[in-house]
Amino acid sequence: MKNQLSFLESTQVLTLEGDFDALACEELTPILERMPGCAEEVLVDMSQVHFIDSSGIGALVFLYKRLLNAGCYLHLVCKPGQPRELLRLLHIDRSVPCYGSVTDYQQGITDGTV
Amino acid sequence: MSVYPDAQLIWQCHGCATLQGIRFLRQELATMLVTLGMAPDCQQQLLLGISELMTNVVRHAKPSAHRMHIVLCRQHKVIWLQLEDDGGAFDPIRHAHLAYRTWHQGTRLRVSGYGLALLRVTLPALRYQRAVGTNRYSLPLAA
Repeated sequence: MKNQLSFLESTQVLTLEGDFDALACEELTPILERMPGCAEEVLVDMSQVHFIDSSGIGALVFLYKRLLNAGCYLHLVCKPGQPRELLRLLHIDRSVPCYGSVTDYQQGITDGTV
Repeated sequence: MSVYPDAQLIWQCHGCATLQGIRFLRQELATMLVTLGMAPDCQQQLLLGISELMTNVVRHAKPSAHRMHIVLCRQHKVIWLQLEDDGGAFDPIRHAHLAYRTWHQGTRLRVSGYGLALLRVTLPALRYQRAVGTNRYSLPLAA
């Protein structure tokens, strides 16, 4: 899975691309364990993730709890599709705000969940 | 892999029982499901369920599995998917019911424990059989 860290104003952005499965989690764990950095808000952009399984969900929950313990917040960008459906099914979107695009995040427009 | 006696083989694919092998088999199966003309939401559900099943095999089989094998075959008018692995015996269906109950009754977000619950949600018709050192999971796909 491709990943890239960047900043959007004061938000740290982790952009993911590819399948978010158990193999991807092994690759991402070192990155997630370094978070939070200096930013209070972290945005995981999954616009280019077209498949996620329970391992990927577990990694997101791991990051959510890790950030919360440090007084920081996780946000997700997730387009309609399998990943968004699974976040809804497992009620992850009740705790972690989901946005349809980075622009929606900047404007504070969630997709109606949190 | 032995398919049903009077079944017609449609497609098969072998992979290592590793995380790389899971991704390879899932992506190959995804291509085949498109070819078969399966509806996109059914494809998503099936691929998620099979991925969870294979991940469970790779992570938890004792003794470890080395190989996994997926077959699509047609018996009469029904297309069957079979997954076989050479790891230790494990009946995911029995464990999936408990995992589903635990997840469904829980309210807190969890880092782990979703896999077997998802297996029950995505593949409710999954069957399990242990035969000659092999785990065999079967699923009717479509008539």
